[in-house]
Amino acid sequence: MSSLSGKPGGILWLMGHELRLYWRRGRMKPKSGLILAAFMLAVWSIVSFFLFMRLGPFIPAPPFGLGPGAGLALVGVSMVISFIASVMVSQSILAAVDAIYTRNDLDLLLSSPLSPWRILAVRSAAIAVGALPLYAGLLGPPLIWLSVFSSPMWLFAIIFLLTLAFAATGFALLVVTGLFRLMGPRNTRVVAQIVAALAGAAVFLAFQYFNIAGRGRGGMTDEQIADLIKRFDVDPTSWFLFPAHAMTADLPATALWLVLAAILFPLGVFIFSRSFVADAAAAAAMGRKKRGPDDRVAVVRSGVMRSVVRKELRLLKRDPLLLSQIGLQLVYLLPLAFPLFLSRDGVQLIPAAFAPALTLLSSALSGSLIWITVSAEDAPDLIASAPVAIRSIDRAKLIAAIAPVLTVMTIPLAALFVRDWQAGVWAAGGIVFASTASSLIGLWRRQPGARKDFVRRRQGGSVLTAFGQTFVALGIASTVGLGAYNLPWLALIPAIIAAAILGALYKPPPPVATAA
Amino acid sequence: MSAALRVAGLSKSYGGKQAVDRLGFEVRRGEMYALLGPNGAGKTTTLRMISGLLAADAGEIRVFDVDARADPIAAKQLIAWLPDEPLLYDKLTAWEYLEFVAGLWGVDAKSAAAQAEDLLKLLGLWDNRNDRCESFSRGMKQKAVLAGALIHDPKLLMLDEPLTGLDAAASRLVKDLIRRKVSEGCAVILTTHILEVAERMADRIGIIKDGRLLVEGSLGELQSRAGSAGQSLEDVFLQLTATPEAAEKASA
Repeated sequence: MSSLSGKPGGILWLMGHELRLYWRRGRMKPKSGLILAAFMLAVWSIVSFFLFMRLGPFIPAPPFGLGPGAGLALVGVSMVISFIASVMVSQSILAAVDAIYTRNDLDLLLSSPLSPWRILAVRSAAIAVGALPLYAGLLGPPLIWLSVFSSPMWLFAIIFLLTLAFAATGFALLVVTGLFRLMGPRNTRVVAQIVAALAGAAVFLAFQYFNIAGRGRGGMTDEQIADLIKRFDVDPTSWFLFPAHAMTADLPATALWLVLAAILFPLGVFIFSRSFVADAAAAAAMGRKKRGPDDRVAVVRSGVMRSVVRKELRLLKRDPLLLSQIGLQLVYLLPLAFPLFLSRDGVQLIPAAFAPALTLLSSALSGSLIWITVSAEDAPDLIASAPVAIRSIDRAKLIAAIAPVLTVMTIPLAALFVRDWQAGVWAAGGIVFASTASSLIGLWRRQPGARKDFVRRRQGGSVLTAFGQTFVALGIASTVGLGAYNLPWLALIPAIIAAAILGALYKPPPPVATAA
Repeated sequence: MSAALRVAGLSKSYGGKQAVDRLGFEVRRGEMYALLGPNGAGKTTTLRMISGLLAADAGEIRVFDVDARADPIAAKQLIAWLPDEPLLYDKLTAWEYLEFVAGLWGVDAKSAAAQAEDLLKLLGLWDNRNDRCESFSRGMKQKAVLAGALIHDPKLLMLDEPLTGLDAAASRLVKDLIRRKVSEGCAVILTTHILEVAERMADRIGIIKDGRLLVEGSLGELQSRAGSAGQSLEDVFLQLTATPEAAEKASA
């Protein structure tokens, strides 16, 4: 009856099961997904073929040794490795936390007569393997063409990337186990998600910063370029270049790396597996914590508005995963604001530039929150069956989406007022208008969804809503920016455009109070 | 004849809370045992410990004379556990799910296919065998999980709220299937809040509260223990669990 290869219950068979689930996790049908992936891979292979046909002969062949320029080349390789490793580690941390908290299928697996060690080892390996296709697709074709047009020694990089995925997973498993020991299940979940978000975002932000800041300087002179090269051409024997050596066919470094990866992954799996049952039990007990006799009686506050706002804020507060996802989305938006801080002399903290930046962030934040409160309502039927006018519910949800934004923005706004009160006034207006406009669009254009689909909400939602929120936010941010730079008459133009888009997106609420 | 399941001195605490406290009971072969108790009494924790999903702090669990704490793999081979929430792989079809579960318990492919076909037909899921579980209703999911639990022909079946979310027809179907398993010699432990089900189906009933066994026996024995002959199990249950004094008296 088996459609999986390998002996039932064996490592290959279990791995097949994990990969089948991984493959079907996407929204697309497996066949369509495969066709799309193959198409994109083919296009990328062709593009990279022409790219490396021209560039390949100029790219030095590894290993780089210790000669002139080797340090610079290795720094470049290190940057690529740090980017990939940070994303791999962040993915693995989230997957390991998931394994503890979302143990649905692990209950089934662990109640079977298979060895728990085998089950968890395969799951851990699947975390590593799951991280590979993206990098294989992105880096595989360039590395293959590099090996053709520069040197076959570049093929070592493929081996390095494979082992990097396993090493990153082993490291992530150790981090999660350590966090559990140090701070208990409740805090681990929150901290692991923050660590993962930071790990994933830090290198991305650094790249974006240097990229945009570099552009901001305009064309660099030959002297400046030479100076930059000199600054980054570090000593190639530096210890922190060890992974770069390992990736670029420096055989002793490669061998040492393989040994390290071969130790790190099983070590991570071993320690994680050993503590898994206890950790999972602790996580399961999280909600049952008894605080001893509790005679407190909460005051019941009446009123639709108060009830709905309190409920929404409580739900938000108690969902650290969602909060970290919102935070991460804001972090990835930050590069959009970098150009605002550029001047001829490079990057400067210009007070006026904060006004449109805060406006954009407010719009994005309230857009996320309104989706959570309106579209991802957990009990729409309950809301619909309540003897309350839909407008009252909508108003309360609007407040629940805007209030946290205003609270969060208070501190940067206060700082801005101190530095430049005019920019502060413009920013305050921008924050209020942008968060209200974004929330209204989300309210008018509501689409049912589930909280767990927050990250993928655009796929199920309306493209019009997403574009509408973005363009209105850009319009208001431009208004605020021009105003803060003392160009109030020009500021009217984007303001009118934003208002027109907002008006065009208006849609009356449904006659029956269906919340989603 | 040895018991199908013997639990003695079983304890488990979460943080400071004693979830299960020196619990002991036996389930015989071909017997249906209903484990009842108010919310938070420790029923699910007990079943999870027997299934090997949760490590016990102390006590003994023997499944068909196999020491489940010392040799959990051998014990698990004999057990099937049906959780209160029908947890399936949304992206697998019903057939693939059964195939997977059969693989986990080492059922050979030929018998697994035959067994899967029988179960799916019996539970009215045969026409949906190639549909992904994400498209199933709650009742269909419950039936698919039950089929998964039965595919390796367990000797001890543990059912945590098996009738939740089922319509009348599906509920009857599941009850008949459970009865059939019992008549074939399978030992069944059932937890339920629908006391009529326990009253009609169970050979013996155990009532736990705060992780401790208050009382066990047939319905008649429980009635006489509570001094309420002729009353329904619901009345007996409420009487025994209503106050700490009543619980103390019952367990004395």
